[in-house]
Amino acid sequence: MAADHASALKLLFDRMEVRDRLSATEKAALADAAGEFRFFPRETSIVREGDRPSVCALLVSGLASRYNMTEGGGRQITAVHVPGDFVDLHSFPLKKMDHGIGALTDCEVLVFSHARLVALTEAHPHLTRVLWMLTLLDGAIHRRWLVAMGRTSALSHTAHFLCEMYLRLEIVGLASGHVMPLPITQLELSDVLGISAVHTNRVLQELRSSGLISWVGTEVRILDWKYLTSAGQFDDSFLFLERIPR
Amino acid sequence: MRYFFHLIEEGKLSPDDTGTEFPDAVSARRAALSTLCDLTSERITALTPPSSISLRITAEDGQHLGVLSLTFEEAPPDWSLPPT
Repeated sequence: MAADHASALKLLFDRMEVRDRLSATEKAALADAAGEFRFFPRETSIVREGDRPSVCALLVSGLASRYNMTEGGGRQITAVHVPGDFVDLHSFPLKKMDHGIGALTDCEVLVFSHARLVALTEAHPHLTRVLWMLTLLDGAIHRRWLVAMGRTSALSHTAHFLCEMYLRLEIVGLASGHVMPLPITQLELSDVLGISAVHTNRVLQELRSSGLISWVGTEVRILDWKYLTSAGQFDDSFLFLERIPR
Repeated sequence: MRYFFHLIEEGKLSPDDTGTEFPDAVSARRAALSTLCDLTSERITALTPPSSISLRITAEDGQHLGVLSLTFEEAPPDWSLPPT
């Protein structure tokens, strides 16, 4: 699917405007800094570990993952990105990537060259703070994952992940009524959770049989939001959904 | 090939009716070992160690790959180390 600039940028503006207001000038500046669209088929790399990208990618469609590989060939997914996420804004100040970004599904991204981002951040201090906040938000999500992975059961961790994905997709208008598209395999989910595919399968069966979710094909329906948030010890404060000046 | 991992905990069977794809029996067994370890660890963390926990592995072609089991025992306070 070929996206147009306006709808691609709207995803980013939606994410930003949940947390702050953007002026028309700032939106125009972001639009002006946007480059071309690039397409990445499922299971290909958007950026490889060790790369020195010259552009940052705004995810426009599909789901992408941040991941690191272990010596034994195992993969740990450390973040899942949804449309509207600036998947490698990190590469702008960090330069050399310490992790890879892969396409979990077919992905379309809109690229912003680092040169344009330098000009943008020098001219628009408030916009710079909002972009900075987006990378801090990635950090906050990582912290929640660390706590869920290290200190909660697989069932609780899975429940937390599903609540998080739902809210993040809802913000950019891709989920509503507690129904979301989640086109990832059980194997990919097990790489998110850091447990075996068999354990993941068992946890999903438990969530289904206790009436918390239904997962048919690529659609997840949250049947009992209140109970799922309680099972996942989910508190949305780490998503910083407050619209205040940053 | 799709493999099924039926959980037996305290003698109660909780069947796996969806199964998981693995390239071969060796990788299915490896995943079962890791799962058994994860499940046991969760139960112990929750202070409810099962006296026994097993995974029975079957394949979609009807083949039985065996049962992996762990048992948990807690000794009474007067238990002492056997003489060396």
